[in-house]
Amino acid sequence: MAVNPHSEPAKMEQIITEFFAKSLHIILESRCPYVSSRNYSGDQIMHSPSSSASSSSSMRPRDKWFNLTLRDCPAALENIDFWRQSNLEPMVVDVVLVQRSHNWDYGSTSPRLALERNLSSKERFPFVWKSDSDEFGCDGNSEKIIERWVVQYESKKGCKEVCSGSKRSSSNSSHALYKKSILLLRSLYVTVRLLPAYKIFREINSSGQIRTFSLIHRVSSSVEPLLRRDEAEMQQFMFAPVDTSCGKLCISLSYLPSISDATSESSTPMSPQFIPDYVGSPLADPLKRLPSVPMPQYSPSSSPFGRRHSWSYDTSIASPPSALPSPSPTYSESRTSYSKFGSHRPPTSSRYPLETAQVHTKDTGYDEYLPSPNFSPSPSPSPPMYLPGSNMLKVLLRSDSAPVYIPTSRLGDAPVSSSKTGLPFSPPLRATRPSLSLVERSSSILQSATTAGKLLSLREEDIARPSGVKISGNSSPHKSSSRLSFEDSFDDSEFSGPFVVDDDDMMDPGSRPGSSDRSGNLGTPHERIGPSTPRKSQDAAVGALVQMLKKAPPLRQDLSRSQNVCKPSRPESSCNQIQDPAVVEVGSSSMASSRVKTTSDALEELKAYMDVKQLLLRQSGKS
Amino acid sequence: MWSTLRYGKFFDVQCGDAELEKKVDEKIDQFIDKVEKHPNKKNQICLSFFEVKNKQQTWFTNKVEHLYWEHWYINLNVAQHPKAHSGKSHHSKLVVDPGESASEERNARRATLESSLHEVLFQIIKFVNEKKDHIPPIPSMEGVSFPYEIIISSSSDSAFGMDMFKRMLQTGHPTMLS
Repeated sequence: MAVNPHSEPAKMEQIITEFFAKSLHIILESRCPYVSSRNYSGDQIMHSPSSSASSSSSMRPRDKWFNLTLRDCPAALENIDFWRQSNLEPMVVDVVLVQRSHNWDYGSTSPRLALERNLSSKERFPFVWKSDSDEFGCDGNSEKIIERWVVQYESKKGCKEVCSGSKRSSSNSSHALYKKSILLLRSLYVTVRLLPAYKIFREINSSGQIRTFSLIHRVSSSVEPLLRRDEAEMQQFMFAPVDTSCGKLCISLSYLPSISDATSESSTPMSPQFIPDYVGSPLADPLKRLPSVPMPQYSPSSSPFGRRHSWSYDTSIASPPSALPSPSPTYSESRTSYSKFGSHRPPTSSRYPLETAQVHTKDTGYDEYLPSPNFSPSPSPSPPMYLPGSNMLKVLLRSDSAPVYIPTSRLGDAPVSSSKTGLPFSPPLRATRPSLSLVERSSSILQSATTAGKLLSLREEDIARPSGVKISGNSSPHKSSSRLSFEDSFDDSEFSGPFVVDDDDMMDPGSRPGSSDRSGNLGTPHERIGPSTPRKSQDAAVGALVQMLKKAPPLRQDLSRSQNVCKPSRPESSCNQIQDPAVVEVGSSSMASSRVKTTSDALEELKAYMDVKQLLLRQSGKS
Repeated sequence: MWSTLRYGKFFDVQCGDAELEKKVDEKIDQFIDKVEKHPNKKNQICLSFFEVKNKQQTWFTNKVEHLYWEHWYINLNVAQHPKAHSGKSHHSKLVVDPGESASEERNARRATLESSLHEVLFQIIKFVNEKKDHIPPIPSMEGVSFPYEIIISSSSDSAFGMDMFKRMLQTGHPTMLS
């Protein structure tokens, strides 16, 4: 049966044929490096999609198709009609990144590339760009398929070509097909320019310098399966198919989301930096022990804690922050990096979240607050390091001492728990063996005086005390030694934290730099260096802890006495600066009033605590 | 679809139609002026495509009806960039060459913006491809695009929300993207 060229099926057939040609043109014109500078005029890559384009002189009849006029791309287009037999065959376009081997001789090649067509078989029709004297496609160079485009027309089985519908619907179908094809091709046009390979294409074209990589393409009508590892790396994207009466036109894409091997050097304005002393997220491993590395000099307010974590690193590190990913062609990779680091970004008070344009759709699922290195995802002023007070303590204290457990839940319980650390007045339990080194560490850390740093310093001083640092007070040395032994016995035990108030707890000022004048203070976080929001919230938690401790019923007479003694020395608003003279007085008075303790005394005390614990447990059991 | 024209300079996608580009640039300049005058307001750009229906001329009116078939609502809020070295900042940096850090910040911001724009454009492509049935036949016309209009409104406008609502009601198109 003779096919009327103006009949619907013929029109549709023609539309589909031209669709293939156009899609190949769109893909290749943005993936084929230019043969010569003749076809390329600097940055001017203006394409006029209108059918009445101004560049009509260079427009061929094919360019008018789909209202999309494109730049010449001679290689594939001249042959697409030649090798394409049927619309039913898929068209597979592989974009391959070729990287030259290391021993490639730059001098042996010229920048001019020549086209070589390889007619190996009827089915395979690869086009390979080859340089004059050195072949990009030869062995010794590594090739990697970075994109695979598959354009195909899936026909419905059993569908007849002639539409049996009304004339109106049949006339609409080719129009509808044409209209939808236009939209699909325009989407394709934009998509090819959004993918990472386009940046490589532009890099190759942007300058005449010889590069170690190049793009070649292969067009075939059979889908060669990719290597499994390649396929695993690739992301898929499928354009919505254009339905016709007898089938559908589909374009699908597999692409590598990150291509940074050879191209990153030219597009990276910043070099990645190794993050020294990377400690990871506290959420991941809050109890991770941190190495003791002398800290560089940081400003006091740079972080709440002297040892910096990776997410707060970049606000204090000199340019460039090591957490900043390079703007490589891998847009999704950089996005990943940003989101990873952005969630840890410590915001500053003067910064606002960056909001990007968002399209109002029901499917808006993308992260509209893609964080930048200097913007926080939320306007909250608290740093990402902020954790509930006790957790913060857990994290911070870990960095400088043996494992420490702060049982927040237990603070409301019996205040005395010998095995646990709920002893509000127990001495700080810590491995005291490396006490001197801890002192040194604390000295260096304290140079970045922050709240938690101060908290830690208080702990350090607790430890430092036993090592015989000067403490004002008369009976303190003895006490310190006994305390040391006491602490030893609780080497592996847990303790309640730095807010534990000892009846004779006196901080040693000697180990604190710049505080040699002070004669000591209680082991509570009185001192704050400068107001800051995170400290206040920590202090609030600390204050709450202290409150809980204070409200705990007195265990024994002497303990209650020490509690009373210590009470006035603990200001409610723990963010105030400590009143040193008053505290000293209290401390010394408590020191004077307490008897000298020995190891046996300490053991007795422990036993007493255990008894009290039992008692309280019994009481709570009764009630 | 052609609302991405401005971003074309990022991504090398340009329409090629001078008139359309000019119109878009004008709107963008208008938007920039508005934002500069009212920095902290929320802004919305509404790109609407319509079909021109000529109603019958009556004695009183010669109405040309716009039958909207697609609205794109783009919420654009311009963030205030922080100063390079704010004295109030608690996270003071190490001694850094101001120019260097500023340019690096700019690069970083630009890279972030680029990647987020990529995301947005991919979203747009997806939406455009998913729903095509509502698009009217291509009119025989000059130019590259369907008739469109761009309306910029901001939260300070008296009927900001109402405008949006009204527009939604007016079209009443069932397949409108919301």
